[in-house]
Amino acid sequence: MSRGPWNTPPQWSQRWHRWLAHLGLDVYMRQGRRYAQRGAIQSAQIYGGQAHIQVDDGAQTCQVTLGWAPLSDREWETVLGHLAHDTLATAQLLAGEMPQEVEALFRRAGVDLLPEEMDEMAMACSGCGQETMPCRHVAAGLYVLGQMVAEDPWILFRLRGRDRHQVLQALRRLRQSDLSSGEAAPAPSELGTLAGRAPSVPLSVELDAFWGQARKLDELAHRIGPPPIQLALLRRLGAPPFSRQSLEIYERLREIYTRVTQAALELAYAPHLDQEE
Amino acid sequence: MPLTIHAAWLIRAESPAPDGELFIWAEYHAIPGARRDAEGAAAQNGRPADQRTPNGRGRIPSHPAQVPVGQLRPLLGPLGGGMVPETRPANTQVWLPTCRGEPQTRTRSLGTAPLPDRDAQAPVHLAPWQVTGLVLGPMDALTFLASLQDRRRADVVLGQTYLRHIRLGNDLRFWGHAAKFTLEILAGQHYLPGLQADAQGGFHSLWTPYLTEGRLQEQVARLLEAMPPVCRAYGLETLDQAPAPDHLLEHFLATLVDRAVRLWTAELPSVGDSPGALWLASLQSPSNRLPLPPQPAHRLYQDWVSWLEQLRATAWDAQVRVAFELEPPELASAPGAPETLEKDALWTLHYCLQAQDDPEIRVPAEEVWRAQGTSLRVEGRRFDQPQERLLAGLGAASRLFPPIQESLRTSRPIHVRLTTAQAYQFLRDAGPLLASSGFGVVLPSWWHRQEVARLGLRLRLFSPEPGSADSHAVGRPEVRYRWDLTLGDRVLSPEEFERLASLDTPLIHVGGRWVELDPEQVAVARRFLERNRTEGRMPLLQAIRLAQVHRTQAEEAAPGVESGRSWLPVDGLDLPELLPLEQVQIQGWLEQALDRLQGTAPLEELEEPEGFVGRLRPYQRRGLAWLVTMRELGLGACLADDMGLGKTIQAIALLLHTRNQAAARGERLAPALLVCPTSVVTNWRHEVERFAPGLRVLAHHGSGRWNGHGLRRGLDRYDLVITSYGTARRDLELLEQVHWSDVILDEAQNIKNPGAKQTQAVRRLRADNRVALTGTPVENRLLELWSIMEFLNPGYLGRRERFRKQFVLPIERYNDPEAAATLRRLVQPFLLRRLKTDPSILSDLPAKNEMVVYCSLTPEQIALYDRVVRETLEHLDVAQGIQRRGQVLALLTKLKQICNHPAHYLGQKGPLRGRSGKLTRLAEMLEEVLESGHRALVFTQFVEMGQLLKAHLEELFGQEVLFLHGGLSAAQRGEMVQLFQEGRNAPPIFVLSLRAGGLGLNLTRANHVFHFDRWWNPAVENQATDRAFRIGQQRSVQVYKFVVAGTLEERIHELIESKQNLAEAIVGSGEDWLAELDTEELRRLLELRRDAVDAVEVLE
Repeated sequence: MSRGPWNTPPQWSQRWHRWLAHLGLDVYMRQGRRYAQRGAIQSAQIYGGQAHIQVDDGAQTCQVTLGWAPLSDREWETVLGHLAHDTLATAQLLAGEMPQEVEALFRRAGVDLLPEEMDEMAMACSGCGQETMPCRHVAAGLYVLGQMVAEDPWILFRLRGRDRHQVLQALRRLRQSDLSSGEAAPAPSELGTLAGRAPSVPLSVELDAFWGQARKLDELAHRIGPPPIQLALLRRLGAPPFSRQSLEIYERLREIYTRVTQAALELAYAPHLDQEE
Repeated sequence: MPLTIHAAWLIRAESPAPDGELFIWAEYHAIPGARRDAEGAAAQNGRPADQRTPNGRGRIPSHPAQVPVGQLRPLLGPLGGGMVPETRPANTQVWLPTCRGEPQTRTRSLGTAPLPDRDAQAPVHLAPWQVTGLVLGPMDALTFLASLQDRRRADVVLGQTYLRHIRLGNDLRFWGHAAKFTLEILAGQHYLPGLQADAQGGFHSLWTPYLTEGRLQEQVARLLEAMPPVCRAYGLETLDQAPAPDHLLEHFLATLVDRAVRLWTAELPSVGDSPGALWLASLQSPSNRLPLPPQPAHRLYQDWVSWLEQLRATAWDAQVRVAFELEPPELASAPGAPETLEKDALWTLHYCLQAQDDPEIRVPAEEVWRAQGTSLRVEGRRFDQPQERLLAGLGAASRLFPPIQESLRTSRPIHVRLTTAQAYQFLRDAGPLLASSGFGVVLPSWWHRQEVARLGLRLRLFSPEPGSADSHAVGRPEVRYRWDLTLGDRVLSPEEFERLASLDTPLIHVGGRWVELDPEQVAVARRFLERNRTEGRMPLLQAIRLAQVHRTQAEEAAPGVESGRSWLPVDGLDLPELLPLEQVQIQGWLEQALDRLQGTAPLEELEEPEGFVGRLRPYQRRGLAWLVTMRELGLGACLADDMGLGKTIQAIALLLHTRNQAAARGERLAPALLVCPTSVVTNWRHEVERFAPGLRVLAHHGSGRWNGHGLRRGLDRYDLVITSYGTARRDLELLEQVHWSDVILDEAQNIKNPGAKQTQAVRRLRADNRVALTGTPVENRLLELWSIMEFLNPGYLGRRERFRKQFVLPIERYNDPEAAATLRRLVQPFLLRRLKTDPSILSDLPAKNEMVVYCSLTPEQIALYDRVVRETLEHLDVAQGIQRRGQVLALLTKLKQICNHPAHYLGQKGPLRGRSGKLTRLAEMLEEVLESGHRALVFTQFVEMGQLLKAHLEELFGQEVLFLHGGLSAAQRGEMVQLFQEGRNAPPIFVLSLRAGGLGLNLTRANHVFHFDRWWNPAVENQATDRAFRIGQQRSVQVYKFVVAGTLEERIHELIESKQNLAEAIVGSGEDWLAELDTEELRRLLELRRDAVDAVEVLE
């Protein structure tokens, strides 16, 4: 049952291309791809609601910034309200997936996920003037951004001003309004912790059985074997929602879990080099 | 000196990068040189040791009984699976129960040492002690602890030194279990990659255990329950700093898991330079600091948090969970109708909410959608936000089982329809995965191990009826067999199988029920049919093995648990793991024989054979019948009755019975060979002479034994040849030329080491029948069991490496109950072990069961004995009256001392090992007593011998031995007796001087009594014996009277036995009558009988 992390439909990259065409930017893409494939992209990061891409054209290194007009809080509330009322979309979003109908839901709220007009776009290049926009560096940046979106469509939310965490929290709030106020969910790092499992009796009270009871130890047994269901935790998690290399990381994690199982079994059943002979 | 090894987990760093070390130290069981007298204790009382404070000015004193690091280090290798961990010496302090300024040692804390000043006032409290030991880093700790055998005591061989019974402290054993649990976590993939912020705003990567699954939670609870409090007492300034048990265990698990995953994945290359990839790379490297600037690091952290929320969707609610219920399609096929194949028939996966604490309480999705308001009340439970929960759960589940997604297109999904293939995938994979993710999963009741019909194998074994020509041929009978494929309780012909397989669907509805045709199984079944003949003959041993394996599978399998255990390869036939042996049908005599061997049908009793002098008890007659049955089936048998139940006479009865049978058929059997330890050769000869005087016995043993030529020529004049293990090894070339009727190993634990020369020698002996006698609980010592079985029935338990992997490691390291059950089942037909405490045996036993144990002399003893007799008798001729009388009595004492031990006669303190036949035999027998968890009294009339016994036995068994003698005060004696009778960990061996211990003591906790030397006064001996045999004694008491063959001990013993009344009259007054004998009479009484002692060799 090996599946891609996001159930990423190929249409996200197609959609990106259609969108560029809609804005008339598709003509620059051949140049952008050439740049990207030549290794001109030094780094690409999303933060502060913008994409920051370093492009080296051989002569100079340019800082390209791409951004969209963020949605207002009120617009977001409307969007989230629509999302929250859609059963499937909510279920998929809560489960960490990007619904295919997400754009339609945005539109129903009266806004667009992807900008419809060029003036909703901010494009800047540290090496070229505004008048030459889009320059070849920006073209390369747009190409790379498209690839990142195909890998992680949540970037589209971030470019509109909300990240995944915020969206999910809001959805939860909307759907379970009085639940979250009642009981706080544990932070993920506390999941599976042992804290509170055993009372901490003052040592001075334990004098009688200070050295423990052999009988209780005799009863402990272990079954060290491969898990009945391989990679259960990882499959439940899916690929991490990282903007880059999510799939590679997921694959590597698979490899790590498999390898660790193997190593643990080897250690568990290692030959006993003892005193028999 | 006996010692205990301790271990502690020392926390070196907490979050965000947990680090710690395993600290190992050891202590002697008593404080060396501690003064135990009243003044000493009083002096210590005056010392203000109890007021020391660790952080005050007073120095924390060093633990007075600790084992030097130099002596501790070499022990770790042998204990930890042979790998020597990297260690360095270190100090720490530990708070220990302290009394009168001394830490309580094992000996002292139990109160076993007689402390004349002991009183209730001396308070025990916790005080810090400085200890020096060795530390191991986390990975070394994991490797060392994981390979630790889990038992209370261990024997260690260090070069020439054999350290017996080193005690593994409960703390060391606890951390061993914690390490094995760590391996469960690692192998079972119960951990997650994590990120942790530090106080400076930086981030650290770490792997953390994730233990939410029910089984793991239970395991954690058991571990916490078993954690000895001392584990928390290390490295504390004050007592209230002691870490909580859960924190300590979690720190240990977290540290080891993190280090192990890092180490084991270090060589995987980096996937790139994205923040996620850098995080992953840092998870695979020794350094856990995240090499990212704050902003992307924070970004990554947020992504990671939302990623892990996927687990929370189902895991964090304590009351309710989303559940799935699979319903098969309605099919209208009547029972008995041919299989219906409706590939299009649809299954239904229903959605519902389920109470966490009661799986029976379910709310169907329809009702959830109908519900008004924000909560739903069901059977007194409140389900909050039911619709959101259901939705969120379905969303999470849809990733694990994609068909669910389809149904989410409707606004109020209540179920999804599945094809048969999808349903099968749900049953096999997605269902269990959802269940492990915290969802409720309700499967049709037939989808369980016992009920779902699957492909399997049926084996039929045919054996001819008893009385037919080949039924009782001694040797290795064969049985006819036939394999068939089965589907549930139906037997499939190859054609039927092919027809069903060609339907190519994993679930078929046949005769009103669903059956599974797993594609993998189908392939395996095809291969099995191609590779193996479905009919033929197989050796009986193989048939028994298959029958036993089947019984194990049938009886041990728990519902819903897939047995992951792989099949045992049977000679020339590999049973495929995927094709279970569903049925074994046995016909003919084999059925009855197996019923008896498996213990499902009672063993009949077999009368004493003709020529047997004496009576067999009912259980001995059953034992004889069993030995005879095994012999007739050509199976090697291990008789492992408790000591004192008479294994020897059962074996003698077997020999006699076999010979009578052969004679009735007009045959003559080749002689039998008995191999036993040197120390019991004499005893065997005596026993055979007594119970079966008609058997002609040759002791092939000692320096005067026959050479090859003589033996070959003279052999047919004998029925039984007795030899020792040592001689068997040395004369193997000679002994293996003979084809013996039987080879019997007494004290078969002597071949416990499969690699030892004498084991290999004994295995090469040829015989129609093989028997092993042992009194140790052989089923608990796996390597010994393998070695003995390999002698009895070669190949039955498989090769040694495989045996180790399949049974030894799971059982000895991990206490795996399933492996233990399988092994027990396999061995059970070949092992007859009856305990004295079995009610059926107890009723057969007299309350007091006396036996004489004949011992031999060592060459040193013979030389001393000869010289003393000769020299004294020479002088005796010239002595008169009182002087002569005194000399005679002195002579008797000297000879008794020599019989006891040369060191006793010579007034030496040692060495003791290997110089006395009696002491060797006593040690062997006590070993069996201890192994069986029994208790023993050992009487001697000499205080000096008592001291030697105490010293020797303490060293040998690594535990304290009590010694009661006339030099002790009444209070001390009373304390000792009370300790023996009531103490929780009281020493199981109690040596008593006959004079001091003969009267008035109540020692009914002992059920074995040894008279090491003799008083020659039955009344006195009986009084002593009665210490253990009292009203209220529930168990039968075994009494062993030691007699050295060929010496005055044997002569006087015979005298007393033959003329009991006369003897009592003569001897009743003591030993004075001996002094009245003239020199010639004395010479006859005292001189060594050469024929009895000739066969002596140096004790091994």
